[in-house]
Amino acid sequence: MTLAAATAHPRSATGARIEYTSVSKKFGDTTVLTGLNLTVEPGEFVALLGPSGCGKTTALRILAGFETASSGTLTVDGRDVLPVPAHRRGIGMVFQSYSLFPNLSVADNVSFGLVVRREGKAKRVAKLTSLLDLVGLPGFADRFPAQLSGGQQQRVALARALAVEPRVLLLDEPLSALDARVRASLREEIRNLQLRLGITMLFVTHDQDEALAMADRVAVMRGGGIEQIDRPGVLYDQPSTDFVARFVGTTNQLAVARGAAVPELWAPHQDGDRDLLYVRPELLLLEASERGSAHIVSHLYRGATTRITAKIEGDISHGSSEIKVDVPSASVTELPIGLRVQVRLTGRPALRMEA
Amino acid sequence: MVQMRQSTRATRGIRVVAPGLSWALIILVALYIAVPMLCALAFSIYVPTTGFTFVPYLESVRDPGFFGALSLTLLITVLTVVGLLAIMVPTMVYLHLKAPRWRPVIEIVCTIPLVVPSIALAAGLVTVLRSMASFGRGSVPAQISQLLQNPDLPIVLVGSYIVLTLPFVFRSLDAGLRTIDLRTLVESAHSLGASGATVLRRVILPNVKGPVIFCAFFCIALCLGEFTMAVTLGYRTLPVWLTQIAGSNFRASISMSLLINALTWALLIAMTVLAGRAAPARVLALKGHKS
Repeated sequence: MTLAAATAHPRSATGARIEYTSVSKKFGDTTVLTGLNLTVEPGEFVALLGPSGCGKTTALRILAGFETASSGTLTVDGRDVLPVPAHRRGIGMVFQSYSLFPNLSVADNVSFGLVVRREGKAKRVAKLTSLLDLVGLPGFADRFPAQLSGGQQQRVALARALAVEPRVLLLDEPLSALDARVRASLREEIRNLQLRLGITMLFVTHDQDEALAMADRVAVMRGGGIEQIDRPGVLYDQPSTDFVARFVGTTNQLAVARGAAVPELWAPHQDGDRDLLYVRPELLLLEASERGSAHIVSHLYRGATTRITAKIEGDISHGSSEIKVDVPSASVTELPIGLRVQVRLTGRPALRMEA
Repeated sequence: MVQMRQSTRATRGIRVVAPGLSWALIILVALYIAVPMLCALAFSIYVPTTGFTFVPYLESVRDPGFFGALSLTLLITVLTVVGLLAIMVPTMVYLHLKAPRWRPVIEIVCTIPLVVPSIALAAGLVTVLRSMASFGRGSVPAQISQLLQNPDLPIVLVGSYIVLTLPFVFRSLDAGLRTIDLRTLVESAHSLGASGATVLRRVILPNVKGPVIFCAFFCIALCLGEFTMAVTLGYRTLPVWLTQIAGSNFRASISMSLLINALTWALLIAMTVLAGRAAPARVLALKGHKS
């Protein structure tokens, strides 16, 4: 009780606490979840991030009640939910495919959960109006799903899920089917909504930008378990494994002599045991030098910064054969393609591991 | 001859369908259907010796067996449609959601009535019912046999008709369920608090209205016209009654078969209109999609 109160998310009054304890799932001979342990605090926004087949969606679907767990326990506010059928869990869900009822208008879609719960008409109408305002679609009540764009449909799906005031909302790749611009704006809207309503949200995505931008904490999943769970900044600056270092953000692997201090000026390490340094592209600097160990092969313009790729010469086993460096676009002219360069480290590597 | 040449040209190049050709084909088909019916109509209302008459219609309706046969047929029809949909819609949904691996098996099972002649089905049923009855008066099998063959409520005939419609109903519902994103629709309805029955009624049925209406219509048409099973199992449904009075009053039987035919057509048209209305969202989607 005191522990829960102490660890409760500061802003939450409405969100529920979710606790996966050793939850595993097998489909026949395939193990999809290998004893998942995860606690989501009330009002927290946690993203499950991982490559396809890592079990993130299965973890979500078990909580929603669409899959059973092979073993383990799963509680919402201390109550075991595994024996409860999906429709009695009171957990909202938003799908990648929007999944609006095509035969119903926007109004009827949003009101669906309230009608099922036999809420009175006055309450339904009031709720509908406020929800359509909330998701920025006032005046769309009489449209049908087929008349809406993807982004609009997903907003309606969000309103529909929120109508029944769930204490937990699950989002299964809700932005993956949308185009980039809509995705970016909806990303912000969902996050603001979550902050405002204080609902606990669990968000599945394979898009690391999305996870880093939206979540309070990101759980990087791999092979049916959590590899690391942390705040986005920690995950980026201090990944605990090479998988996380490579999966979250862009990373360069630079070989150095085992145990040696991090060099300011880096050159490929040729012999003996090596360590690998995992370094973010913005923490490297390229300097023109005749004796440099790399030469520039390409520029990728990205607005404020340009990503420069340089090819390393010499023995590069275990390290990257190319390094990627982000530089301010204004300084690109000093680093033309073909230029021989040396590599300088300007910050702490995210991770150091034995090669 | 000209028609033939036009049609070969039309099949070779799809773009050059002669505007008159489609109409010609429609008229041909219409004639094919209408001419026998018109002949029957002429035969039923025109007696060479006495001229125009409606007596055959009155006679057929006044026949002491008519209302019995009509009410029995309607009862069977209603029960068959209700039973068919009550069994097949949940089954097909279950098959799609929970047991997709069993779909090919069920498909083959549902196709069997198409390849087995109904006389064979009927003969088999009669044999089974008889052997159940042979257990002796009061025994459980004999009681079941009697219950199935209740003269006022022929469950055996209802069941048989459900089986006979399976090949078409399976395909229709299967296709209908494939066109919607069934799994996520069901899951989102569950997550909004809807139980299984509510999901079926409020989400699935409205989205497969067209196929469901087709199934109901097909079933009605079958029940109104099926003869073999009914006569073999010894029930006096409308078609059975018709052949019986055909011996004594041929003109009356023709008039009645015309009426049944007209009823079937009326149903077909009604169902087509209903099925067209069943999908307002999709119609709107075609007309009013904004980009």
